Amino acid sequence: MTPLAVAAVWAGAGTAGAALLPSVRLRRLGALVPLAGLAALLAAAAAAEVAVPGGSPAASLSLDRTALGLLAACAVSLALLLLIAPTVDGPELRALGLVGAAAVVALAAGSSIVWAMALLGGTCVLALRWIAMAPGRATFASGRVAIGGAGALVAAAPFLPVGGALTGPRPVLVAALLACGLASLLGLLPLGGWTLGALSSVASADVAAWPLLMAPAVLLSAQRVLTILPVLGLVYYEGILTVLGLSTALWHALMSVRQGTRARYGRVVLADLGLAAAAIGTGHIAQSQPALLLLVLTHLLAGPVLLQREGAGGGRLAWLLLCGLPPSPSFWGRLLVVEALTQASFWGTVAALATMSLQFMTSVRVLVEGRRRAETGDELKPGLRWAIVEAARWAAILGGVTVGLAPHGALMFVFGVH
Amino acid sequence: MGVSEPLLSAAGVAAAVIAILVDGRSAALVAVVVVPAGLAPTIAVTGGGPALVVLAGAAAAGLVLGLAVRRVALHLPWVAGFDPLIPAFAPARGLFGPRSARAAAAAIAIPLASWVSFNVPIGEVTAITGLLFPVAYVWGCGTLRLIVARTGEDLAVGVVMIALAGAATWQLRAGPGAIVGAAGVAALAPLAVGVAEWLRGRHQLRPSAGQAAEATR
Repeated sequence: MTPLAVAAVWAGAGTAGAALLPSVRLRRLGALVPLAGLAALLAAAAAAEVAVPGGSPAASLSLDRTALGLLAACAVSLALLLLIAPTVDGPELRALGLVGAAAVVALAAGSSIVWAMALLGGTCVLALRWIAMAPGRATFASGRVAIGGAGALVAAAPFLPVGGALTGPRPVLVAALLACGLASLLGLLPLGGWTLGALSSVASADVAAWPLLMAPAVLLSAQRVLTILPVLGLVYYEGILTVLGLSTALWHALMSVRQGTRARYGRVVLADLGLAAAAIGTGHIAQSQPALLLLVLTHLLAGPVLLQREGAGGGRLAWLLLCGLPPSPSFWGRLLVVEALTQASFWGTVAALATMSLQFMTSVRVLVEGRRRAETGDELKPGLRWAIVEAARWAAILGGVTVGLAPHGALMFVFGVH
Repeated sequence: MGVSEPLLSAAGVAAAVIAILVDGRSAALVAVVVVPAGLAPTIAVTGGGPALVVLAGAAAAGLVLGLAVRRVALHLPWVAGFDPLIPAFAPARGLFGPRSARAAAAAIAIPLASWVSFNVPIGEVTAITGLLFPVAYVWGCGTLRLIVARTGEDLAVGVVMIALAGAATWQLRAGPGAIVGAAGVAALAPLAVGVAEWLRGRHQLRPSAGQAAEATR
């Protein structure tokens, strides 16, 4: 199966699911949409060469093993989230399918304009859905900032590849546009960011397409862009990503200790995305790639539980996956971030260690508060639905524990990375 | 006979200014027609006929799709939802209104586009400078319109401007696959217009729907 067919399956499954499932009163089967995408991904052949946005023809699409593994993991995570979600309305499945198709095309594109176009299209779909669900300044920021960031990638695309221009303003402009565009899409904006509003005000099934699908794809793209920039461009690209990543990570880690509600998990996600971006910014691919993959995998497993209402027992256990102590999977990802940063910047390492300490305090605080707080009383009663939710919840948590116990095996099994 | 580059650029600048300032019910439709018209002289000189077809096709598709979708949506029963003409949030009381902010943004974009045009070469086969000004200006105005956006219509206009500027730049770059890539990114413009018109047709409060809503209070 070709990448274009995989993208068509994602888009078709999402559109069909949104149109058919509510009319036959089977919204609960929404998990079939990402599972259809997973089946298509498993049927796709892995390409030997990594697709990087450059000067390839517009029609050349190829998914390498790492991209396939990442998208498959995203599909499993989304299926778990839809199983656990208290409500599935139907229209969010269309957005999910279209964003999935955009992520497939973005990771498979060897042409810079196709890559940028896919990210712009996916961002537009996501922003439209969020604004339509909860109109307001918070969700509208996703349209203003994220689409603007994707627009920066569209502006950079015609100047790629910049291999021939080693000096002058061209590599600097392209690097700045790419770094700022990708940082905007990842929500790497110090002192706030467009993602928090959506994470707090939009239902879990609607918001999930960003942390569990779009952001991982953008992060992997950000890492691959390193290979197409000349040295002068790399200086600016890495510098912007490191500064934005570390400042965002530190800010959100600090605020996550202070704040409650579901936004707390959003802030931890943003802090980890910031750390991964900072690792990419060091330019040490040997450390940054496994770091970002492990951090992404951690959130793909914890996200389906923690994006839901906070306070249930399963939620407390999922916070253990994010505490940053061994054998939690977050420990290995953050360790590799520190390893990458120690080779690049002393103060960067200090900032990363401070961020990780704050993230640990957040996990501890959630666990302590969760123990004290009485249950809310709207728990599911034992039955088929309860069994499905519990099975999905424990599958996510035990998956996280397995990754923590065998990180190398997980990287090899999921992403094909040795 | 040579063509005056300032004259070519003037058409693009005028189109960008119109697109960033236009408001109201048909803003996206106006933008999808005006921006290709403004960029057409530059693209015709550098890319020739096939390049021009992409922009003309995007304009025609946007116009036809937008009007058709609007007509269909208005025939369907009204439903509550996201009206792209209603501001998503109330602005802070300030000295300048939204159009003044956009006019200021259009002024800011001039030096940025000028710098890009004269300092950054583009082209896969032969690198050229000095031709990017109108395209960079349209892109800059589109991005700034997004940044100061308050309504869904503002977002749609911003996406139209960015997509068409991206398509035009891709054609200036030339090389293999220039037309296909440009057509792909230009296709986002009519899609944005179609979505905006659909949402407006479905969710804008009509007189009959207004009475129904009043009656249910």
